[in-house]
Amino acid sequence: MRVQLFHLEHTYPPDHKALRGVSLELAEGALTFLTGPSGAGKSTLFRLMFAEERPSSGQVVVGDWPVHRLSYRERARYRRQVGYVFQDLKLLPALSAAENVALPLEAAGLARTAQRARAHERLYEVSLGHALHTPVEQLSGGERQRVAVARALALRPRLLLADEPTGNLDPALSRAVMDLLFEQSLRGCTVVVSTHDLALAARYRARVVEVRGGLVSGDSGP
Amino acid sequence: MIGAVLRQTARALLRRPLAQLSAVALIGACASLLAVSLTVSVNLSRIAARWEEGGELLAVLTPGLSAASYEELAARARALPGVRQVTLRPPALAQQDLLDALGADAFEVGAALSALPGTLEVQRAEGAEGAEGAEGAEGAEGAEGAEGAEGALAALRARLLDLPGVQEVTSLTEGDGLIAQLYALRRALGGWLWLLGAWVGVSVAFVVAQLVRLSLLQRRLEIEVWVAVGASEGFILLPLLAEAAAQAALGAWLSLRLVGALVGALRAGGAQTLRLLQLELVTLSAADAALFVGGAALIGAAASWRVARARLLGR
Repeated sequence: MRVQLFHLEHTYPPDHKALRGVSLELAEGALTFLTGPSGAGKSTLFRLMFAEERPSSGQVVVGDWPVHRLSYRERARYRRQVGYVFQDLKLLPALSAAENVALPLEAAGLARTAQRARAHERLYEVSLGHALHTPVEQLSGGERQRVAVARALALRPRLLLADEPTGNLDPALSRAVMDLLFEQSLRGCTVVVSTHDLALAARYRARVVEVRGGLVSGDSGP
Repeated sequence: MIGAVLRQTARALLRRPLAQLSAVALIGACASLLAVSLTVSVNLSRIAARWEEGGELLAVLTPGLSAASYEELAARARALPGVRQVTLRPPALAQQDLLDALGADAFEVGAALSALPGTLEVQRAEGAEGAEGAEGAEGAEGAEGAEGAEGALAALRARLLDLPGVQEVTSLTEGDGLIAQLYALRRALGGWLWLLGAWVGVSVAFVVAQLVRLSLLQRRLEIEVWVAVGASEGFILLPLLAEAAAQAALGAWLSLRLVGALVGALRAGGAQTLRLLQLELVTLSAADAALFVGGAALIGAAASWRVARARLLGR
């Protein structure tokens, strides 16, 4: 899905201006890195694209979805087309890897057998076939990160948002996770990755957008 | 959807059994107060209805009359204005009732039983006025001009006293006798029981709401994940509602079992007194119990709905 951000401004109470007029257009199937220092506004951009918040002003349009003014019901439907790898992963520790990956499938109303099959398939894709039934709390940091990616990919999203997906990983695992995200863009999924790791971003032929002080301060790449 | 909701509910109930048991016990304790007040109310109503069947006035008859005279007296009482029903209890029947009630202790009372007088239990007709039809009845002057139920009762009492063979007439619902006191208690408690019931109902709702709040705090991450993966509002809320309803219903059911055990103990401990008073203690009927449990479940679900929507969905 194409992502269009028009003159986005966002202020957190009482008067912290997180975004000061961001306009961006991300092509369908593109891989884009969002970089910038902490507090620059990257996470706010993600929240607005994921319809977690409404912008103070401006518009967010993803595909045909006017994300900036979705109702609760529409938001739930929209999110079934968007995968999100949270910075803090948001995995349920008592559930197994497969059960965690099956959550979006269950929410989408898939039959149980289909859920199980699809969850296993996604976990094999992220090389976690050996940990299908292992509770997430018993997995290593890298494995948990891959479970989070597998869950974000469970419904074959058309937009994938990944907030610092390699933050806690060693270089080899970071590359593995990034390769996985890159593959999604090759399949036509629009992928937006927030990262501080410019060296990692440079490995891929991808657009790099730098955000600083709530504004786009740099935009390079294809 | 229903299958998923049921699975979610079962998963939540089984994942934290201790927390669930604590919640059920707490709700059960609150519901027990309500169940006790309802059971007391039901039993008082039954006792009142039982006595009202017998009559409001008790006419004690002169001892030693023949069976035919008792029947004639009963017939004359029935013919009096303002009388709905008259029940004759000749001495032999009164003795038998008492013997039945005393059971094994009857032999200790022995010959005293033979001194029991015959009685007429008189039920006043509804709407009978005090002064109406009192003309000519000696001793009814005091009642003349009296209004409403009290006047009617006084007039009827005067008429009964006027019958030859009636020694004494006592009111079962007034004065300081045991039955009259129980009547007064029932009247006094009537309104208060409703108030108590309402208060306990609100308390149960409050306790359930607090438990739901705690449960939501515990499951914040889970709910955040559901919201993030695009679960619908119903998908997230219904298991919470079902869980709260199940907790409340189970608590209410346990409270009924507790009150049932209490009534059973009272029945066993006060068996002779209950026989003497010809009373039977009961628990709530099946329909009332179902209503009680269903009502508790509804309160639980409503409390959960309110808290969950406000807390989780920001509405």
